[in-house]
Amino acid sequence: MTEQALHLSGVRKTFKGFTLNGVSFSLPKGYVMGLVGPNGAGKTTIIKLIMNLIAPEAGEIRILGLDSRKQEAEARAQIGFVYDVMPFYADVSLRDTKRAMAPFYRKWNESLFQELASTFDLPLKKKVKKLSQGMRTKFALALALSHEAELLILDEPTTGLDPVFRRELLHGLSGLLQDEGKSVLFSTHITSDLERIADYVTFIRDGSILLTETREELREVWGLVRGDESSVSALDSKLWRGSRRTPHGMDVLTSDASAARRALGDTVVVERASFEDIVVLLEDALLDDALPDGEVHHA
Amino acid sequence: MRILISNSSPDPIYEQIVRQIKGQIIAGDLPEGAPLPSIRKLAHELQISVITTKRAYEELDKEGLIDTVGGKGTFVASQNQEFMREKRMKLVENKLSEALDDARMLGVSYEELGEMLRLLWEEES
Amino acid sequence: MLKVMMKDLIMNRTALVANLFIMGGFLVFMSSWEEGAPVGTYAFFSGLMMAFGPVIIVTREDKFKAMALGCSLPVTRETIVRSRYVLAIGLAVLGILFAFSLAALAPTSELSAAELFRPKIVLRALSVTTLLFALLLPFTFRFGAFGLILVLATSQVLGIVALTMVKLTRSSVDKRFVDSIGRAVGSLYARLGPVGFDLLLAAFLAAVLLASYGLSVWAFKWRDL
Repeated sequence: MTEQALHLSGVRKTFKGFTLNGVSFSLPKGYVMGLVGPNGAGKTTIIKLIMNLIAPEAGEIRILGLDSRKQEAEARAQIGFVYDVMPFYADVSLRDTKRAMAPFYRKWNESLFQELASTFDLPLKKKVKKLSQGMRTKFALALALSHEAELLILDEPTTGLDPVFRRELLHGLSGLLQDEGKSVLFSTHITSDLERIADYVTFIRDGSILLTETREELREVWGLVRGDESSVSALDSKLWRGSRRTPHGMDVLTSDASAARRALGDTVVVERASFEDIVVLLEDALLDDALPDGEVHHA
Repeated sequence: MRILISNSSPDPIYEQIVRQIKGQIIAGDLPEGAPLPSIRKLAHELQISVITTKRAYEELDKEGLIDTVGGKGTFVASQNQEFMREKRMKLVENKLSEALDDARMLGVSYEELGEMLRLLWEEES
Repeated sequence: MLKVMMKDLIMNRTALVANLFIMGGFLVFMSSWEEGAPVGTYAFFSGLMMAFGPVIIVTREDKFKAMALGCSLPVTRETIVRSRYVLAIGLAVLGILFAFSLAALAPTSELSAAELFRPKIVLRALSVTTLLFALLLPFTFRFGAFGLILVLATSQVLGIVALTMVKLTRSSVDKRFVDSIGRAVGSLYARLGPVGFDLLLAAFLAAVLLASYGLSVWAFKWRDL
């Protein structure tokens, strides 16, 4: 069995008007996982649960084998974190913030931090409140990368970044992984982020995981079937993962493009499904079919 | 080593990688013993998933074209280039003889076949 | 634990120092009353003022939602709670020493060092501070700065209700209640002697702190940030 950087099983959390519904997924060590879904789907809740900022009602979270609650300090020592809105003290300088945080990490690498700070042009003497959102993210990233964390947890790290730095950030993250063994979980609502670096993609909507799959599988095996409603409807329901009507017919998301091509032949067009197609079309109604035997829930 | 990935190609990315590395090994651009980038480095450079590059390398490994030496990296397998070329030539020969069989069955003449080959050659290049 | 305390001190440095100056100014003013402030009253106010240290830390943390930052670092929540208690006690002791030194050294002061630096007076100031934050901290750990308001508002309301009840019923329950506490303390003091009484008071404070700490740890463990 490959070692897991992150393993969630049956994690539940209820808020007023929102339930995270028995979430389970795993991220093997050394890979990047994108957590994608619309705003309010539960991405931040999952990240807060991993960081033990909120307590789960049920289920278990393991970080490099460590329990997120019973071994919270040891687990977080391995994590570099970047949040959507970093809870920094706005009227404290970057340098003092770093000074307060660095001693917590045994493997703090000051020269690496200084290097990153100059690469990112961080004004260390300035107060956090003088920084733009993008700059704050860069600062958080410099902190997260400077203690040689095994797992990076990034909540919407690309919001507020200009396209150029966004690209650099994602590219930099994949470069980080050349140092084998480091893993990344990042949440995003921007599907193009996934196309750059994700090895695994986990789709979430309304507090439920719709799918966890490798990018490879989604690109090479999944597909989008387009055609007349009547021709498209002939597709085996086992291959059917979601659909939408268009002015010219129907688009169907399928988990096996070549099987769809074989079955429907020239009556339809089968093309690669983009992440955006998958996010939009993926339905959870068929989720039970995707569960391995024995894990099917009977309502 | 030079690899170009086309996103619009219908071929899977790992196949594109396999084909191009194979081509460069056979053409001698990648001599035996030449180091290949690590799975992660290649994935990073091509901005593709590690899983994809891993699959490509596994494929090449299976065909005996590359060797992965634990802890040291991946290298072009120590195979005789002559032998490699012969192997590829054999493949071409096999395919041609298949085509020849089909042509004979249809009663295509040698001249017609030659003309067909010439046209195909020009079209491809 | 030291790291958490250092973090809190660095993040709140300016506010804490500013607080010290403002409080210091007030205490110098108080010690300079012409008729001379009673030593006991001065000690009581010093203690009261010094409870503001931990309060400042909590409100600032709430203002910047920075609890999530502290809790994302590799420390247990229990360590965070313990650090805050130790820091609160440390700040109280230092603050009271600072306040007393001010009163002793300020040229305008009517109070002398010999009057102030007695175990009894120090303990009295310290017990005011301790009781205050022992009451406040569990609520702030559970509810943030809102917990602070909650405690203050609740005690306010309870006070008003009690007073109204007393007034309406024309009873003298309030007087009798206060008197009985005074008498109980007085008789304890008489029975134990000054040293024994101080020891008992110290033990009582320790017990209150411990109970408050236990409550905070429990409450904070389940706080969603």
